[in-house]
Amino acid sequence: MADTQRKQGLFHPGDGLAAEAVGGVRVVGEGTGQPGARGVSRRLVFRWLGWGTILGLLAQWTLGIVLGFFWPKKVGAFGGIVNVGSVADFQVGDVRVVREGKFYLSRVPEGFVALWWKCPHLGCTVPWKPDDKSEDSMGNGKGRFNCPCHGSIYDRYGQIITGPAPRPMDLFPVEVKDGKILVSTGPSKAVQRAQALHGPPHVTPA
Amino acid sequence: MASERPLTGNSAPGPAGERRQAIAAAVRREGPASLKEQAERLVYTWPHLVIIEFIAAMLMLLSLIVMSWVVNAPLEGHADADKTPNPSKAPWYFLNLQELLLHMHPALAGVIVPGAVVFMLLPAIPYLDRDQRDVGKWFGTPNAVRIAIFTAIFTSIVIPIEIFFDEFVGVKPLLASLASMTGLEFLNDILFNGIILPMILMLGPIPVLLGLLRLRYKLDNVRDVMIALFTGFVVAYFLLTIVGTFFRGQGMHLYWPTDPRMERIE
Ligand code: FES
Repeated sequence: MADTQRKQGLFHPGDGLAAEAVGGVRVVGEGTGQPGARGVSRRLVFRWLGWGTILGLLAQWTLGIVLGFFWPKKVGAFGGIVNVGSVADFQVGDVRVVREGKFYLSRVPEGFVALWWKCPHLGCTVPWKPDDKSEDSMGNGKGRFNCPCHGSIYDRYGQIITGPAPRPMDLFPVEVKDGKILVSTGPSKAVQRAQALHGPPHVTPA
Repeated sequence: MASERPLTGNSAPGPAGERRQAIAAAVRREGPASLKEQAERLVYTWPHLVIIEFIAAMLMLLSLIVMSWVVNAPLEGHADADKTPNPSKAPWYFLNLQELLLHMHPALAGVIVPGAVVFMLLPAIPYLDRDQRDVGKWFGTPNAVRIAIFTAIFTSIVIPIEIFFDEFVGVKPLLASLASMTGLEFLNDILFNGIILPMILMLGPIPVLLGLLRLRYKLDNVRDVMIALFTGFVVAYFLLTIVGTFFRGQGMHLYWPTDPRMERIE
């Protein structure tokens, strides 16, 4: 009796059995255990199972949650080349949101600009406001970008008109090939500019 | 130094000397207190202070419970990176900073101004105002209340004017047209229109205020200046919070609180 009631393993170390329990486990029934027999009691096995399960669960959570943050999330085609359509679909003054590329394609008299919708101020998604007063000479006096976070306002070139943004909206490179408009997207492709210019190189001719 | 300070009436050699003299005088005047007297004068932390603190804690808890009952704070839907709610506002106690962010370069509004206030200007007050008299007394100088009121009024005029100016004229558009008119391209630079000019607009009113106060109230000691500056800071802080909370609507434009465009669109 004294033997089976002895405290063993995992949080009750000290009798040397815990070390053996890690290796080949031989379960010894409570009643059959001989005094001094080498082996592991049923209790110790359950103790290991219990704590092991809890640890396993914690490990799974940790891995799932922490590693999950590092796993790249592919959203649409952002990061690749996006085909926006044909040049003929756009009239001067048109601004079209391209969700999968996270940008606006703006048709200006000189050609096309692709404006990344991330505000160069603190990164909010800038909405296109088709009914607001225009800041350029296009769109019959209507249409501009107005950031909802600190009120920066941009025209169809992405030029900063007012508000705290330190530079115009960032550009994605646009290529016109066989009448198709191809835009390279992704944070690494974004072009920062000090000043929005009307014409090349900031505007890709149609 | 000490004898030059206008508030200091006696000829003691300095704050430390003054203190020593004051203590010596007090001891001489009162003599050692008897045990009985001491017992009468002593107030123990427990229960006197602890009871008061306990009641304060309970009242606080109660008001929080009542508030959580009355004010609804629902969980919102999943955040959508493709769409920022309009307007996007910080919690109300940060709206003063967000209001500041509307008007200048993010480094200035988000880092330099709050950093300077919290780590330099406020901690500097006791080093600048080293007068020992009336320490811990609110509005301790003869003109203090009048100075505080004047400053509050001054600040409540200047801040709204500057906010209106940036909303309806706009620092950037104004400088852009100035730059194209004069050919001075630096006016259009973010360094100038985002940092230098906002700094001038923020700091410029301070000498004006101090000049006005000097004309009206003589303003001949450091404490009065500190009272004026601190009042200005507090009033500006609350004004910015109020404007950010109740007067900024869609696109972070100025609207009346009753305007439908104050409504947030998700
Ligand atoms: S994030 Fe767009 S204005 Fe601040």
